[in-house]
Amino acid sequence: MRCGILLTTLLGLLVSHGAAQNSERRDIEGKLLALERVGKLQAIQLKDLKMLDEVLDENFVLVDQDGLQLNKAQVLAYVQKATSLRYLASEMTARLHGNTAIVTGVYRLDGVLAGRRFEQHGRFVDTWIERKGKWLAIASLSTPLS
Amino acid sequence: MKAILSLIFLCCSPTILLRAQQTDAAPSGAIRALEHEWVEAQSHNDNRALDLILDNAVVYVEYGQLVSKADYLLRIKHQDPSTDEIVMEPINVRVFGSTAIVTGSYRETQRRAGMRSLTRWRFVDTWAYKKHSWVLIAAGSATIRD
Repeated sequence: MRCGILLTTLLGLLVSHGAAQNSERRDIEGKLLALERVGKLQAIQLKDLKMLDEVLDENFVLVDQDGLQLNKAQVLAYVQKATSLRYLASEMTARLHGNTAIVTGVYRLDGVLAGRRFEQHGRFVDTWIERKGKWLAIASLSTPLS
Repeated sequence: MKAILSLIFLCCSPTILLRAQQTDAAPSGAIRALEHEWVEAQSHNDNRALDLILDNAVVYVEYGQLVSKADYLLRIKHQDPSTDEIVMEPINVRVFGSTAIVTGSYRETQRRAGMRSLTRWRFVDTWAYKKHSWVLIAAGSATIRD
């Protein structure tokens, strides 16, 4: 009888611990999606280089949908150079792997660069890591939708 | 006893041996080896090796579409290895604690109905260190446009 009560209590604790972990995971994933919207999409649209500088790690690397590889400085220069940028995203999901997260989504980017209008539509895969309580983007891939 | 041990040793594929060794190797070297092993496994329809390389929650983007691990393994299982050839070009590995970003390019030759096509791709792979080994948690590539 006592054994049964102990087992039930233990199972209850495990279930509650698991539920707390799931809830924490969902909270972090939600926070990352918000960070994508504000730290990336909004920052690019508003040409907020300060915000981009904060969320991109110094070793950030981006591969764009033309297969070009850019580092952080090149991304900031690109955003600064553009006359106008409009960046919309949908179908965003975040997957947490410890202190690493993968965020994916479908994007539509259009704007004017060096006097030429351009439009891109594709899927992105972003990698984020948590460092000292702060999430930083370390890599991003954009690829056209087939 | 010796015979049993020998049998176990013989049954161990290079994949398993490599995974056992990678805990002692420098992360960058282990990841480079795994990238090579991934290409080899794919070209030999080695789903057992691929199952160990890919995390169950891997985010894999192929031609702009999200592909689950199960769908990827199914495709590889039925793929004729003589139709596609992948030649890796130099890669770059950046390690961020228990996360690693690999960027690089590769040439893919496809043979269909007597026709041969060559495509160059730039990729971004994300690896995470989980339970004493590195696993692929995200991968995708974009065609390099000349």
